[in-house]
Amino acid sequence: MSEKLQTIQPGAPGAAMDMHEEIKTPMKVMTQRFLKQRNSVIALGFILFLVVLAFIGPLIVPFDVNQYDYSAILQGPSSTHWFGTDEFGRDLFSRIILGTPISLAVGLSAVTIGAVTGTVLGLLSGYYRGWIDAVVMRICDTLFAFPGIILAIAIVAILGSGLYNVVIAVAVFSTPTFARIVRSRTMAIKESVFVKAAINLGASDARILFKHILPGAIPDIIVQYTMSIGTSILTASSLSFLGMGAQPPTPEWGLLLSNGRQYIATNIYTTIFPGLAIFFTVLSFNTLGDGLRDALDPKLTE
Amino acid sequence: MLKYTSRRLLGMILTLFLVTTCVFFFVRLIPGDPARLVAGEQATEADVLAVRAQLGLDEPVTTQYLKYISGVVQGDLGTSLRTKRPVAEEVGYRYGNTLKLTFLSLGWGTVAGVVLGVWSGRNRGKWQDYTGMATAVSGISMPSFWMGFLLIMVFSVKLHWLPTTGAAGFQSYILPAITLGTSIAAIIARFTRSSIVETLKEDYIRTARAKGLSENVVVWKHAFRNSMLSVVTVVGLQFGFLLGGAVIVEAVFAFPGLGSLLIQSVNYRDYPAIQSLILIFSAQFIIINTLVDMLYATLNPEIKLS
Amino acid sequence: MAEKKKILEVKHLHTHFITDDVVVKAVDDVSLVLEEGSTLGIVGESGSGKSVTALSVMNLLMGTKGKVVEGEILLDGDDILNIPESKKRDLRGGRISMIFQEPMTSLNPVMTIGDQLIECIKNHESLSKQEAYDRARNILEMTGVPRVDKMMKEYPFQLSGGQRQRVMIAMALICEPEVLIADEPTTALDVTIQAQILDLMNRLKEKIGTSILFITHDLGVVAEICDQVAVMYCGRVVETADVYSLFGHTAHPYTQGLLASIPKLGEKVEELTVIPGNVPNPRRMPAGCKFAPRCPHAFERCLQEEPGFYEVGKGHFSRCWLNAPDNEVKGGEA
Repeated sequence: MSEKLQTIQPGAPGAAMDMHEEIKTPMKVMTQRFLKQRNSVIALGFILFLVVLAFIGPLIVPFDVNQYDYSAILQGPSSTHWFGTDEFGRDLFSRIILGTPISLAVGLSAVTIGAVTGTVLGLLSGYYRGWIDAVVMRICDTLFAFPGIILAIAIVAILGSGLYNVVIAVAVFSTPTFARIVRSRTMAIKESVFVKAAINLGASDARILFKHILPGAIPDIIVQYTMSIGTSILTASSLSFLGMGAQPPTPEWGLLLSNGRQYIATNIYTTIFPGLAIFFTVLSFNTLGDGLRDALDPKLTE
Repeated sequence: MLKYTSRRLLGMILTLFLVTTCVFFFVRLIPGDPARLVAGEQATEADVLAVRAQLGLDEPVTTQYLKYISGVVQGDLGTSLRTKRPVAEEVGYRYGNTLKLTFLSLGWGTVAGVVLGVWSGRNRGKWQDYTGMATAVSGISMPSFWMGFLLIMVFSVKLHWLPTTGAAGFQSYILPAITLGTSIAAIIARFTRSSIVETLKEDYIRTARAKGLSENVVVWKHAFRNSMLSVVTVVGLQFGFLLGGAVIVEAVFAFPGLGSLLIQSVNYRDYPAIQSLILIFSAQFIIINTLVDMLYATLNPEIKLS
Repeated sequence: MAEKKKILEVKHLHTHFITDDVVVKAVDDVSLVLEEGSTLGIVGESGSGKSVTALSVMNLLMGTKGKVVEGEILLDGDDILNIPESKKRDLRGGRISMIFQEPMTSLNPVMTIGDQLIECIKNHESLSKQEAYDRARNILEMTGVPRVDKMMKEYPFQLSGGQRQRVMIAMALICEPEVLIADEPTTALDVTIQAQILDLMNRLKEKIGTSILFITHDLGVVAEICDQVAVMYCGRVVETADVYSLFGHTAHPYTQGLLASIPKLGEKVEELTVIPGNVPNPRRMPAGCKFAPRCPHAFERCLQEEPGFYEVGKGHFSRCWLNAPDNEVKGGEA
């Protein structure tokens, strides 16, 4: 019973593990997982469509953005005016299309600024700890103490109204979110064995930060980025609605809605269509963000 | 427990102090000379100087700051440049309305959010899950001012069931509360769902099922009771969102609360009022978050008994 | 010798896991018999299907992708497989209960020990609040924990691993079930505590009259408390016998390998004996005998055809061509 046992017989059918299992890179795995989610793919498609629209909009719109027509005010949808007209007779359909690049530009630029600033702060404070960390965290806590919109209103109050200031305001209140996320990711990755090995091998701080830590934080950053765009478009249109953001005659969607509000009794379409535009745009970004998050770490919502 | 509480309270006071300071200096950055605004367009330089002295704006910044702090502590929130009356008075008048609205919204949002989240989470991957989460993601994507208008159009203009504006009587709270509550319901639903999905994977859920308990008991008495801890935290954070979101909803419904007061003050450059209002919003937020943390501690036996 | 009553009978059970690309046969035609008052051990490595068998009997496959596709399960003669969900639920915790491997995470962290025990009994019997409390307190005391009244009010995080496992045992036995399934209850515990828990289970088995289905990978534990043993490999039972025959007249090469790999005190060897190779990937099961690729006595027939379950002694069966009656073995021999 305790004699030496033989080794496996080679060539026995099904004996060995299959040597031809396809090796998939993380990128490929993630892409495949993402593509399986129908909703997110549709959302991505819609966003790309909006981007295209932002560029070619001015070329294809049937009417100019400020084409007054006093004979056709506050009309409902018709064959000439697909979405109807506003109080000056301007074509709502054209104005909404021309508002696309505004919302996208505001959303993307504000969040990009916030993301970059927040990432840098997060990396520094998570890596070096000490007083940098203390200062950055105090700033973030103070910024977090203000509900988002209030902070945006305060900043716009100081800087004045207008879209550029809206971008700054949204960037400011997005920054702490990114800083926090990147900071905790940095602290986690810093503790991992491969980073400790790199430090031992004499790698410089910059190299570690950019080659090891930042790539590890990128998935979280991307997901947050997408979700933040939704928030930032909502905030920007809210500020325009309150009169603190875009100014007339800019065809910003929030502003369009605010204009239409006085005419609710006569023409509801001036409020419905801009709102739909905002809704579907934000919905696409949020759905895309959800899809990315699931693709990057399916265990989170499995 | 006592140590934890005192630590949190201390932290809270520190943050409040920092926030007050920030708000004070922040507001000084607003362009425009309030003295000139108050004095009016016809005023001469001498008039403006007189007004400035009257408002105490000619003193060094640090003195102004100290006066402000001591004022706040005593409940003096400055005098509104717009109404010429104490800010505290206007706030007092509106505070009750905003508070009622906030609680109504929070109540509706929490109940709806939790129910939707648990329903989705326990049916992970099935149609209930997809429906629930599609509803939730739509809820967070909808601009609150748009939703407000839609509700007004349907319920006020077309059906004449509910009033459009104001805060007279309970009916005027309904539409604003639904609008405000819906966005937080969506956030709470999403969060509750993932929390429930995670909790249902735990070993003690398997034990609960092994005891022969019905699935409803397993989901609510065992899973949800554990998720509740983190859901409470999220609900607390939403309180802060409500305070901010209320600004927009109050504008839409012309609701006489603190939010609309803030907007009026910003448009007028009434900076004593702006200063104090921002302070109030932030202080509320900070205090609520601290209370939520402490509530979490009472619910979590590990912290309570250590 | 009078035939003992078969309190639990599993007949030709098949449990499959249905994933996106493939069907995994976690339990592939398993039959077991648990006699009243005895302890049946189920031995196997991870992935052998022993836990899934237990979960199938308890109907605890919800939340997984597993489904019982075929077979019969009889509890004291009653069919417990083809009955409505609500009846299955009534059985759990009442007539048949289970304890698990990880005592540290198997108790609800936000409920007191007392509440969790009371919840169990109130679910199965209608008792007054005081009666339920007394029953809970009683069973907890029987598990030998110190300061019972205090513990009733405590939370799981205040207890050690050994204490939590005793609470689990109390919770499983409070309704005096006919069968207790124990899935590696001592694996996560210190060796000294392990001995105490095993001893406790034996004592309570006598006292309450429960029969035990004990799942483990540890042959030492098997030797200590099991009366009968079933050895599982790749979702099948490969050998079954009473504990003495299993150790004394081991028939199946896999069991032999398991026994041989246990180092013996006092014996000096150059090399530790191992069973070469790995448990096959459930998605790519070998044709023929599942153990053949690793078996030192395998011959051609083993790789092509699955052996049947052959009797080698009284109540002792082995799934190996070597144990087939002579006229079944055709062709080559080891």
